[in-house]
Amino acid sequence: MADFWTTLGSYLSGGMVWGIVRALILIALGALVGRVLAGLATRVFRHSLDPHQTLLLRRVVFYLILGLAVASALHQLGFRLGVLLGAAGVLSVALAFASQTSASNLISGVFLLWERPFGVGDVIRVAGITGEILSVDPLSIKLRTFDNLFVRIPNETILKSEVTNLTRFPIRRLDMPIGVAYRSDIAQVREVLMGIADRDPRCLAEPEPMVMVLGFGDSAVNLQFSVWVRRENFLAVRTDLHAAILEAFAEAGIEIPFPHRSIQLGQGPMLPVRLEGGETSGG
Amino acid sequence: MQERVADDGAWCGDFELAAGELRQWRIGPMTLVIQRGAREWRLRRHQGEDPLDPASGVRSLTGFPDWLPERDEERFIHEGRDSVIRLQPRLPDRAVVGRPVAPVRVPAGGSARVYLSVPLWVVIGIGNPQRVLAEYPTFQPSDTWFGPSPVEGELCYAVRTRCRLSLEDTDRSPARAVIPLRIRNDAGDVLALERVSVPAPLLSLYRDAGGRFWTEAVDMRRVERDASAEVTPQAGPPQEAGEARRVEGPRRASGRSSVMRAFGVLFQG
Repeated sequence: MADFWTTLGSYLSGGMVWGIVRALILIALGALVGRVLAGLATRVFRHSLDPHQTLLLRRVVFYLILGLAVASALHQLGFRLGVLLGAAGVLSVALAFASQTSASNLISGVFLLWERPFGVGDVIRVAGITGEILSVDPLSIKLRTFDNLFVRIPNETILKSEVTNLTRFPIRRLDMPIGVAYRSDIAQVREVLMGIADRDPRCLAEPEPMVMVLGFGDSAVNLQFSVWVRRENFLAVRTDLHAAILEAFAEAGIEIPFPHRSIQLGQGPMLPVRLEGGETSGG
Repeated sequence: MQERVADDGAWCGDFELAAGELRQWRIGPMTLVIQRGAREWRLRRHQGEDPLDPASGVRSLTGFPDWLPERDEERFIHEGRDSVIRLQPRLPDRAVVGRPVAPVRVPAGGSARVYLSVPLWVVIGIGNPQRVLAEYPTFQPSDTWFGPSPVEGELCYAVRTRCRLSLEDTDRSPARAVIPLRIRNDAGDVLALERVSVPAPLLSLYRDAGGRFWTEAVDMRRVERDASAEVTPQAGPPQEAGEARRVEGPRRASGRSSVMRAFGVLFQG
């Protein structure tokens, strides 16, 4: 028992424990100061930076200060940083092989930060997924889809894929393909469509709405009705205009044809068809 | 379907409503019905199709008209003390873009005075100091884009009525204000005036003795051979308004004059 107390006393008098305590205090202080300075930097630059840049600045300041605190703590414990860095150099070769994917994502993240095709809050479509960006992190971006799912997409995927930013510009063009019967008067169709756009104040007066004839389809003359809208109104206007077109076409007697299919049996027996009236015929 | 109001009284100002009383306002194309409940203000409105509807007036009703559906009703809770409701006219909250009846060309060194009529907004408030309950356009103008391309520009309102060279031809309605514009072309080439953008949120609103609404006259001086102009709102009511009094200040404060994109040509998207 006496030996135990002697050993403990020698540890305490040797300063090892106090060194660890001091190191822990340094790290805790570093984390605290880092958090305070990161918040301060965010407040100072909040008017000149967008949310994405603010998030990045906050993280850089915090981790820089925390890194310095950890280095000081290691120094306090008697580690020689030069030796550590040398060992880290050897270790990094091994780590590089082990973490190729992470490194690739990290470097892709740097390129994305430099190129800035989107920022936090933008709505993007990538690899068939559409959603609002919650954060842009060193390894991945996080999206919230419109059905409220959380999606993590690695930065490497983003860099390699086609990314569409749906909220980059304040206005968008809404294209609606429409088919009308061959006997329709195209001038009348155009007038009806332009009237619909004119009555809806959400359709921009300029750039002006357009009706284009795209060509002759199997069962319809193919048109495209294009109107410009504010990006916030895009979905609502798309729904309302389709409903308004159906109503206005019905009122004006303009037919929207649908493909008809004829079935002909080769060598088999005639297909009996029964009508609602009860008559039977071959066909 | 629409009721017409014979009363030509002014639609703006303070109105005292007894508990449970319903009152209807006709403000050009907009019909507004407000009821003072025990603990709430109930509000229904309808926008007609004619932006130049001349109807104006206030009258009491015994019940909400059938053509104002309950599903569109808005309710504002209050503490029961306020019996006075205030209706104030305001200018649009974005710049407005107008076109002349036919394209007008202003030669180098020349000037033109044109008039643009814009729909008013109505601010509904209670109490002193006033608490705003709601704000509505008397006629919702179309959105439009004013700029050289769909990427660069500003979201504005398009006014359906055209800029007029003569005040007599300018559209008159109790729910519209007239903006007199003096366009001076000091650049070296002819200015083809196809569209003009007026910064309505920077202007004040005046009302003349006949009840017509005006803004101060706006000087637009084109110096460079481009679409920009030095825009300067003149102090006080325009000379055409005679003895007019100011009823509302600008939505946004600004300096005496500013250079902005004021003239535009059409582009296709």
